[in-house]
Amino acid sequence: MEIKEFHKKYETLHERIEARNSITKESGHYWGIKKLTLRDQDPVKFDRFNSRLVAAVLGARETAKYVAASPAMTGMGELVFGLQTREGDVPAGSLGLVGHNSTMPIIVESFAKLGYDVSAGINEGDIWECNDPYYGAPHAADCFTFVPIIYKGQHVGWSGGVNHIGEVGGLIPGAVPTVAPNVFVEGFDFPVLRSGQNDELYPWWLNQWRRRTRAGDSNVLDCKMRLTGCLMMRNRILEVCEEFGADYVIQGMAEVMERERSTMEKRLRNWTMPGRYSFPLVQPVKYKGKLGLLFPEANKDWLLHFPLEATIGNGRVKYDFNGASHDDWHHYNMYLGSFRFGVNLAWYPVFIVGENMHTANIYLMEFDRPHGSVVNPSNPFVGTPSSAVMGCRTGQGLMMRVLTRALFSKGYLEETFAFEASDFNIYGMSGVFEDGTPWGMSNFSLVGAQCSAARAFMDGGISDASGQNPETDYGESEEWETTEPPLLNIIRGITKDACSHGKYRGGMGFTLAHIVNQPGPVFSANDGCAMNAEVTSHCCGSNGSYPGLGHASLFIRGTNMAELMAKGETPGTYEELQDWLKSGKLTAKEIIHCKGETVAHPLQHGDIFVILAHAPEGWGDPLDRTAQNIEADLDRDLISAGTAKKIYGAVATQNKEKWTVDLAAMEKTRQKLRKDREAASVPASEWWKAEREAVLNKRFHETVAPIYRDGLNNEKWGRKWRDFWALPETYSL
Amino acid sequence: MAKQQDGDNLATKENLLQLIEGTLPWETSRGLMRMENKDEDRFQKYIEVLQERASWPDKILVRIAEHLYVVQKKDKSRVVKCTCGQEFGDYRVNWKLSCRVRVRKTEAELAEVISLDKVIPNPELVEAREFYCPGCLAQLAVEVVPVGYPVIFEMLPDIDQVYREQGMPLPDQSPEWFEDRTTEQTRLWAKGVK
Repeated sequence: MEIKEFHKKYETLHERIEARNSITKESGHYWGIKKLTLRDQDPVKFDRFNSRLVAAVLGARETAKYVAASPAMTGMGELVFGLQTREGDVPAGSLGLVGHNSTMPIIVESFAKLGYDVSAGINEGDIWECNDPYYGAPHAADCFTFVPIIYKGQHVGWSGGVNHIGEVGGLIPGAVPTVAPNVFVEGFDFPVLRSGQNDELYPWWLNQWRRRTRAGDSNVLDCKMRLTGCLMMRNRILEVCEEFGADYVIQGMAEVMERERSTMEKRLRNWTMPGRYSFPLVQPVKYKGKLGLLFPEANKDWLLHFPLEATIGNGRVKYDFNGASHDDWHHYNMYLGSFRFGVNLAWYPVFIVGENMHTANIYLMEFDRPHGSVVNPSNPFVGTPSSAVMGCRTGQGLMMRVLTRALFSKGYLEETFAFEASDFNIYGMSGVFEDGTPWGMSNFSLVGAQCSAARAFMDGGISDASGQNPETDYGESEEWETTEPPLLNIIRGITKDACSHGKYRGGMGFTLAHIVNQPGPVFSANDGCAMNAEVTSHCCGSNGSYPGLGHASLFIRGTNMAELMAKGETPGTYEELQDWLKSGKLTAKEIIHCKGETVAHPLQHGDIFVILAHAPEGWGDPLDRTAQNIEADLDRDLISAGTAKKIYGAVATQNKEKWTVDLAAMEKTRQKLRKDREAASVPASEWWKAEREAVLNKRFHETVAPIYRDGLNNEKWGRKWRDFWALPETYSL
Repeated sequence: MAKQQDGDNLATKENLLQLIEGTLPWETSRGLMRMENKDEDRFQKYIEVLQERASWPDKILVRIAEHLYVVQKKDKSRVVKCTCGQEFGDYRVNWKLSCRVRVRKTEAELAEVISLDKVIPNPELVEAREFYCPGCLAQLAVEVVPVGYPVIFEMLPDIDQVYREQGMPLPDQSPEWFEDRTTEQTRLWAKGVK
């Protein structure tokens, strides 16, 4: 049956979406399409049609981004556009913030569930927007705009766009409020709503951005940027309708979806090792003592548990979160959109080879997200600002590790690749200028170029990966400074010795440091989206390496840096900054060392704000690392000689900036390190017995115990935990 | 077609061996990444290369980690085996339970392996478990988890499925080969059996 026949059969949009889901699931093919009729009839025409779709979305992004003001859009391209079918699927998306494509269908589904196609209609010139995770957005910072494409009265599809704005107006300033126990303080969330008609945004809507967020003008420009791209794309598709006919466009988009679905299925089946993969992570959240008398229900710390288990087989992936922590009054509660967003950040770099970014792979996935858990909240009031962050950490971060292991095992070592879009480190800030104007913003620099984990055949990259762009880019430092007037960037470079060691070393951590300059009467900054260094990035390292290192920040108050700068002196690296502090050249009244996200810290002229960004895992046993690779790291000043000896057993000497490892001495040291391992370890059976005693006697830190309490409440994970420790059935917490 | 042809030429057993050993030139590795359609017999070539470089005769079924393989023994049992020859028993039981284990529980112990002091994990929340091969003492895995967390069974391959899909079904295939049997081991330990 052709798609237009389905459209006649199912009257409302919601009915069609339900029909698409059931027909696709039952038949194993998108809308039951087993034969690509249009493509087979005239492959050249079909190819030309597909190229027109791709050109429309790429053109929209490349042009519209210049409407925005934020360096995140204009320089780094933190936005994405997607052409959507009537039911919301994306057969062609632009480059850029690609994971968001996969949430566009959820938002159209929310539109349908709300019955807007019946009550408000799908009308030419209408503008719809949404940023509420409850309705499909990853978090409030990700604002979606979509407009219907109507050709001669016929609804052909949607033109959608999304970008990450710089400030959402929450309790904590910036794009990702780091303290938000509930939806009432997480910022300006809005459900699917109509924000304009006749291709024009309502005046109240623009006023709303100016009044409800601290970066009103920037957000208004972002809003207009999204609309510009959507309209450009819509107009291109109307031209395609004129040339090919609306029926061809509707059927053709469906055939593109099926083509891409079957291609993804084939690649998944051919490239990956079928099996069950377990890669959990734990996430600290620290609210205790930070909210004063407000929100007593949130006056505690958590160690949230995200036990991802993925089963790959028969061209499908099942994601299982049984045992996850329960939803609660913090900012890490996550709806489906966030997870799907993250998942596609993992899938795209591995499996997409052609020109279409798309959402067809969603039909190869199954999700088991226990209701009432942090990955599927039953309480609609709990906070969500970091739901997108956790979507990345679980959907992307964990899934990339699953895929890496599955590709490695199948022999496609060249495709092994993992990084952490989750540690965006979008730090936020707000203040009041001398003239009394309040302001707020976020800096996305570190989003644009993250370091990557070691691969099965080489070291991890430095600033070589981005979930947002095919090309990595921190953006221009000077441009960012215009959006954060009191912060002057003084250090921007790798952090020596900040890596997970292994046969192949993980990518190096990165330092950003700023001096506060004439901030006005009020200024505060907070570190956000930061993978907490109280734990490691994930629970597992890779093949003998340690897991990735977390993230820390320093708020250095009351310094003499302004005086040093007046003399023309600034530290060039984090190492130099530390040396200056130790030697007394740089003085400070107070140094606050934080791990992971922070609350907003008030800062004054001359204070220093340092961010030590994360470093993902290495690969393999550090004692398998070659002398040549150790020498290369020493030559590039990535690690110190002390680290080379302590971690790798390499005794190295320097001559005219070139380091040489003494091979005989290294072998001797490594033999000793292996003997040390033997002496310091016990057979697993002995270790298990001792650890079991701790479990039986419930010797858990108060922040850890809820992991097992929640786990026991889950039949599947609880059974696994009880059986592993051979606990009596009467055991409870 | 030209691109595909290039890819076919790159995915040779010689190049695979260099890729496995980390000596393949970057340009060639990148060429492999850029193959539009991967060589579908990669798994077979991979196993052949791994078998040729193994120091023992057991038949490799799959590689599950840098040093670890599931091999088929003469008695048809499928066991995990290290590069050094050490065996870890039935692959359906988490091989980490056959390792030597070192646990780091203090900041000072963690500082020995994490070389930036500002990002050392909080030992009140997590411990670091290092799993060593009892034969060669290679560090095979590291977990940083809360006390009481079950040992993570990172990967249980569906060996029968991969061989079926490769058109080489194993004669003894059975759904039982894709079962997690880790708790059979811990149950024995609870009974005092070593």
